[in-house]
Amino acid sequence: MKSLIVQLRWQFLLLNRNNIITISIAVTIVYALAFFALQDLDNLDKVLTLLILNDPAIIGMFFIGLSVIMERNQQVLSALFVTPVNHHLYLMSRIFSLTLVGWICALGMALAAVGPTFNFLHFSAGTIGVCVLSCLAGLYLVCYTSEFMHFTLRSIPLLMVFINLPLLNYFEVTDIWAFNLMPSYGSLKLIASAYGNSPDTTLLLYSYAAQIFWIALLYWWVYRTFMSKIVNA
Amino acid sequence: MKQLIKVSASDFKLIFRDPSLRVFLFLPALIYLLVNLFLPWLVDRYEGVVEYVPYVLIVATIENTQMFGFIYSMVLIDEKESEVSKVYGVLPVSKPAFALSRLLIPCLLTILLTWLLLIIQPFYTLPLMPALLFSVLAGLIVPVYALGISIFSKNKMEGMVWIKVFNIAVVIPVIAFFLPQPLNLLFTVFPTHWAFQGLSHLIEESTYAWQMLIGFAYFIILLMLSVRRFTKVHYS
Repeated sequence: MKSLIVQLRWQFLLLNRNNIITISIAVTIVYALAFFALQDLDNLDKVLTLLILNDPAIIGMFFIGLSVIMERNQQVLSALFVTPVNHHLYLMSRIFSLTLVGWICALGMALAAVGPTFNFLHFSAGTIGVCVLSCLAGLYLVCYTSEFMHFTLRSIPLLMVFINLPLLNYFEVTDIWAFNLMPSYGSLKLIASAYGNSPDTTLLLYSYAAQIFWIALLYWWVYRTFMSKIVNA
Repeated sequence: MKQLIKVSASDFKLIFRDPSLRVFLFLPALIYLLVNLFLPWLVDRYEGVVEYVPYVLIVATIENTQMFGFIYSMVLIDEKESEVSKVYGVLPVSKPAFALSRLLIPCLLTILLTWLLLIIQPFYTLPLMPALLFSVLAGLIVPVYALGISIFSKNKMEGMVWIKVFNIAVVIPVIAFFLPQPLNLLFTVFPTHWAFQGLSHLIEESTYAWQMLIGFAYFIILLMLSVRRFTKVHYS
C-alpha cells in the first residue's frame, strides 16, 4: 500500500509537471460554462455523455501512452524495472492517477450540465469504468509502438471503435446488437442511467457486470502484453 | 525573399520524410468524404439533420485547417526538443520572416483545401470569391495554431495537452449559434467566432463583411503577437 502511495505521488507530480492537471481543470471549466449556457437545449444529457466518453476518457488513453513512450525514450523504464518496484503497482498508479483526473473533470461537466440531481454512484462507476478502460487501451497500444506520432495515429481508429461504436446505438443512428458487446458499453449505460429517473435494474446489473468483466479481462491481457513487449523485451 | 521561399519549400518536404506525419495528409480526404457522402446520406435518412448542416459545414472547414496546425506544431516541438531550433537561431535570416515563411506553404494549401471543400459541398452554391475570402481567414488559423502550441509546450506531451486546449478554443464558438442574444456575445472573445459568423452569413446570403473584417484583424494581431513571442522563445 505504501509503495502504491509513493508511486501515485510521483504520478501526480509528473502529471502536474506536464500541465495535464491544470489544463484538464481549465478545459472542464470551459465545458462547464458552455453547458451552463446551453441549459435549455434538448438532449443536453446526451451531449454530456458524448463529451465524457470523448474527453475525460481520452485523457487516460492518450496520456498514459505518451507518458510510457517518454519514459521509454528517456531510458526511465529500463532503470525502473531493475528496481524492486512491483509491475502491477507501476501500471495501477498510472491508471489510477489519470482515472482520478478524468473522473473529476467528468463530475464538473455533469454538475454544470444537469445539476446535482443525477445518480452519483452510477455516474461515478460509469466514468471511472470508461477512464480505466481507456487507460488500458492506451497501455495496450503503447506495447506495439515506441514512436509518439505512431501512437497518436493508431489511437484514432482504436478510439473510434472502442468508444464510439456503442455511441451510435445510443444516439439511435444504428441498432446493431454487436455494438452492445463493446467494452465501453457498460460504462456508457451507467453514465446514461445516472440522469434517468428510474433506470432499468436488469440493465444496470448487466452494465456493472459487463464493466467489471471487461476491466478484469483487459487488465490481465494488457499486463501480459506489457510484460512481454516492454519489461522483458 | 528568394532564399526564404527556398527554405519554406525544403522545410515543407520534412513532413514527407516522416511517414507518420504523411498519413495525417489523408485527413482532408476523410473530411471531404464526411461532408460530401456521409452528411447527405444522414440528411436523406433523418429529416432533423438538415437544420444542422450549416454548423457541420462550418466545423468541417475549420477542422480542415487544424491538420497542418497539428503537423507543424509537432515539427516545431520536435526541433525544440532536439535543440535543432538553436541551430536555426544562428542562421543569417530575419527570424520573424523565417518563422512565417516556414508556415507559408501549409497555410496556402489549407486555403486551397478549404476553398475546394466550400465549392464542392452539395448543400449550397457559394460565390467563389467570398468563399475564397473565408478560406484565407481560415488559413490564418494554421500559423497562429502551430506557433501558439510551440510557444507553450516544452515537449510533445505538453504539446498534446495544449492541442486539446487549442482544439476546444477553435471549435467552441459554434455554441454561439444555439444561444440567444446577448449570451452568444460571450463567444466573441474567440477569434474563430468571427470566421464562423462570417461563413454562416455567407451561407444565408446576408451581409458578412463586418464579421470577416473583424476576423482578419483579430487573426493578424494574434499572428503578429505569436511570431514575436515565438522568435524569442524558440531560437534561444
